[in-house]
Amino acid sequence: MSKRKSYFFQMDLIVLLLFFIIVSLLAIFNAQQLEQYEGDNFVLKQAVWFCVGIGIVAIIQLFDLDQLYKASMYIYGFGVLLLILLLVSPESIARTINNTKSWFTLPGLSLQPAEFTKISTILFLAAVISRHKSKYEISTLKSDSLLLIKIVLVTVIPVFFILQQPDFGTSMVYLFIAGMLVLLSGIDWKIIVGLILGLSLLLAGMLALIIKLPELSQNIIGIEEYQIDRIMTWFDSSEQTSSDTYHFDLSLLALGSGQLFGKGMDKLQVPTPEAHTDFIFSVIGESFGFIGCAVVIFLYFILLYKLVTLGLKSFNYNSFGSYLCFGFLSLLLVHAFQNMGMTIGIMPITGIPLLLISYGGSSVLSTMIGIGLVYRVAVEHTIQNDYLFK
Amino acid sequence: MNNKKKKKKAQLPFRLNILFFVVFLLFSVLVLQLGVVQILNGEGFQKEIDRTIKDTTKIPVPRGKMYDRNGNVVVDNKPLYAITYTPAKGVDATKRLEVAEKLSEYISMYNKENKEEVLETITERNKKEYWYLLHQEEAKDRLSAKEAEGMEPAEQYNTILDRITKEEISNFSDKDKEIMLIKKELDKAQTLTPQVVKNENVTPEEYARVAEHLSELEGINATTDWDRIYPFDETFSNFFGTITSQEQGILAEKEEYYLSHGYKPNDRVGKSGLEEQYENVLRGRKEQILYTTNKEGKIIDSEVAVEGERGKDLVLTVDMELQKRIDKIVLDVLKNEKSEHPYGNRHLNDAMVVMMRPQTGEILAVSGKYYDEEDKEYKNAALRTLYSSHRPGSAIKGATVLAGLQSGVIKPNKTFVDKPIYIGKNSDGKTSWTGNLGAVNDITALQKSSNVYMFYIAMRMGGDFNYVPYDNLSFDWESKPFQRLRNYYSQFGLGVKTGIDFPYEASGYKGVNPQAGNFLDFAIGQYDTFTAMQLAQYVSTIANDGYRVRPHLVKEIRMPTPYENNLGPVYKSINTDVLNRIDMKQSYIERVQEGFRRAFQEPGGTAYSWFSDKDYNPAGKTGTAENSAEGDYTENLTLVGYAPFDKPEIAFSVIVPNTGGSKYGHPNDDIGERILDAYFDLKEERAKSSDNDNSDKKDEKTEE
Repeated sequence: MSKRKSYFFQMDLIVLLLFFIIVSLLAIFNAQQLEQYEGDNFVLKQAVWFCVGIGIVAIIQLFDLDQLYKASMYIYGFGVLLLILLLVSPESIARTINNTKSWFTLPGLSLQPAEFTKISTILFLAAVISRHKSKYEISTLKSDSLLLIKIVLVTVIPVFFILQQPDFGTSMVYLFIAGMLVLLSGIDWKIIVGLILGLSLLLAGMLALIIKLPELSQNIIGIEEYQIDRIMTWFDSSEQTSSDTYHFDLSLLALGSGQLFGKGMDKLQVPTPEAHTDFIFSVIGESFGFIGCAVVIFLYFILLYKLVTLGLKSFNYNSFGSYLCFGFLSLLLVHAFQNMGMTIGIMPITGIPLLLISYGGSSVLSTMIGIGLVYRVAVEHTIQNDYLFK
Repeated sequence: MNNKKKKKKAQLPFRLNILFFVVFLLFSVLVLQLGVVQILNGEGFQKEIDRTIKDTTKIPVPRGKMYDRNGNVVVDNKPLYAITYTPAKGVDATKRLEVAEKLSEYISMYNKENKEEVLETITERNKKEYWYLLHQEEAKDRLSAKEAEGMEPAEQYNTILDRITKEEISNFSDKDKEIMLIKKELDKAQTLTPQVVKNENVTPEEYARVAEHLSELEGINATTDWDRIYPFDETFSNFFGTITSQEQGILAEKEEYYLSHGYKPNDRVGKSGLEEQYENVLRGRKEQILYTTNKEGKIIDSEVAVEGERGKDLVLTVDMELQKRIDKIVLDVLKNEKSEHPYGNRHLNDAMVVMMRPQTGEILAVSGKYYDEEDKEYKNAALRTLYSSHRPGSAIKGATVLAGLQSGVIKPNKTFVDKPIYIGKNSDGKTSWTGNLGAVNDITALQKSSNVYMFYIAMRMGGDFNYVPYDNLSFDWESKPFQRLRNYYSQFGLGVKTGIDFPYEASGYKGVNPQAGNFLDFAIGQYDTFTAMQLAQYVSTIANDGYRVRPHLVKEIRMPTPYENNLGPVYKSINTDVLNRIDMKQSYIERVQEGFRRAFQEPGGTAYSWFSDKDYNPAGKTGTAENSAEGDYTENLTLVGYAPFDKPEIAFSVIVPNTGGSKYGHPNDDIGERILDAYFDLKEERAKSSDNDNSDKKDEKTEE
């Protein structure tokens, strides 16, 4: 009995998660002192989301990976269905905010389906890859190509609907995850190199088109003006839109003025916009300085490292679990790097939250589902180890 | 098979290692860039945050008052309680709405009587904007993302406003309307500049309520604004001029001047008259408060940088009591002339008087009355003395004689026989006002107003010393006779600006047809036109032994005092400003003075019947100029003069243009007689009353 209990007690993951929760709540508490959104207690709300999230993590432990593997297609289908539903929903339950229709806005609750679909897509991608691997033990160029097509298909479907919202940033996250999984699925280098070459040519062409002929590109690619603006911002600081420049300037001012040790709790001076969500890292930088930021980056690094090792260890007997880890790792990595990078000016400004730290019900819940999945992988790995050594 | 499997197994760690290495690199870049931002540049960012911005806000002070020469307040300030709004930087519509909502609990923008009228001023747009602010989320949804694309923000906003339906804005409560009215005023405010939200009819209760709650009303202040009041009502009001309202603000045509002198666009400034002329002393010094704001626009400190000081007071040269009496005289005479000879004097519409001290140029009274044919009523038109110019007729003969003497074309006591002059074959003769005056010299020519004497002077100045009846004149045009005579005239202020301290004056019209006949007319005041102010300066110059002084309306500028209606210390005295001394010898001037005296006091003098019995020893010259109005023959009747003859206290000019002619009466002489009487009567009354209580000697003293 005591043995069984210990399977479910993954010390390292729990400690890491606790650290993230503490950092998140502290940062949101500080951001709230700017009184930009009077009346809402975001700390409390975030704490509630985390509690719900922990509940979900616990619930997920009731299923084993085999069951999840079998259910993955339906979960994925459900995720895509949500995206379609969102697009056809009337304004009353899915209001357009900032020109995008990304949210179900129910009274007292807003949900962003694309956040959940990220996890369901990762789950299904992991299943597809591991199923393919067991089917084609000997990989040939042909089987690899087939796998590549499968991965692309699974990814492109949700991306298509997300682009309709339109949400360019989130779409890029999907593509990044898919790319990482392609890399790690063992597909032949030749295909990957070809793919990378082809894609980068396409991307370069698109970027060139966007920058040189923004009006034409709106018609051909169908991206929105503000998205073009954001891409422009990245390439040419003199073309920045005033609102983006303003956000970025304040973000940098906040972060930079934190210096080495930060200003401490409740001493913020710069009214960073979206301080508790997209620009939470600026608040951390201002409050806790370089040290604080480094700690956050380190936490992420540890978590990613944990996922890499877990995936690697599970690979031989449980490739599904392993790809789950890699998928989730990719998700965390792209969010973390993009979000932190944007606050310090090495990435363009997008509305991508810092997972596990930024305020937001949908992102916290979906991330916690992801955590629940990899937690289960860790649990099964422990059981497996036990079994082996017995 | 085994081999393949091994290869596959080996593949993953290899790729993972690369991947993890890349992750490591990416995170290193993050840390590195963080180091640059936070450690290398951190101090700079902190400095930027600490940098504060200092701004000054200027709080208006009351304008200076105006007093007459006897210390009576003639232009005063009426304090008005005012609720003002001074927005901080970056205040948006939502904030203003908040302020308006709170403020609506303490003040009301209308009262029972004008409620309907005030509520009407709320436009549909006001209502829509208000609705928009209350329902921002909902309003924004009225414009889909697709439509918004390619629209300017203002266009988007307007489109949304258009889509707010009539029903939605039809059910506002009085309370809502009150808020709209207040917000309308708040919206006008410019950053850090006080804007009056309400100043008319602020009750003391409202003032007190707002003052008590200032802390919760961001940017609101309870202050006092001022309105001009005129204790003497209309008397002299044209000269005081007006000031702009806050809505009008500074004058557009002088905007740069004002802005460079520290005015704000909504400052009230002198728009005309003395208010405009003395704007820079009347305006006072605004209280300047230095606000320190940090980067977010929050005011973190405020201190008084410059103490405010209300505007300096003007002491005018005008005697309001005398002014009132003269106004009445001018009006009486004008009315009388028009009612007695309504047809004969049908073109007679106005009369003007200027009275001043010849030695100092102080203007004691300026009056002008005007009959408005359309409104059928008499109006104050004192400014006509400055801008309305007329042919003065014989009144300028003093200057002609002096020009003749000085140019040497006649010698003192030179005699000519006054009989009709015939120039050219078909001439029907140019005469004096009456056929033959007989032999006249320079003095009697003035006494009897001989045109012929002036014609001889003119002919000689033109170079024709040998008049033969019915011959054409042979003028030496090389010697520029017009130019020369105008030069002489201008020494008296005729045809040039008098230099009065007023924003505007006309210098008269100069004829452009240099013919010999016109030159003769010019010499008798029948050619160029002059204003009443110019004539007053001209006669003052003669009275003043040839010294032309600048007429002025302001005597002193006084420092403001905190005491009501008390004059403060003198800041600046407007001294007598001698513009020039005429070239003529004193002995020549004395001959003209004598001619003027005889015109008033000796039998045969043109004004003898009005002034012969006066004990104040007056001197002067009448004038009649032929004129026409709407094709009818009219006469301008004028009079210039001074008194007493030996020690002139006052000089004056009277112009009554376009009368039906002297056959209907002599309003010029009537006015002249009565204003001189008025002056000396008033002087006597004051002397008596000061004898009685021996305290009020102000006026005596100032006369030296």
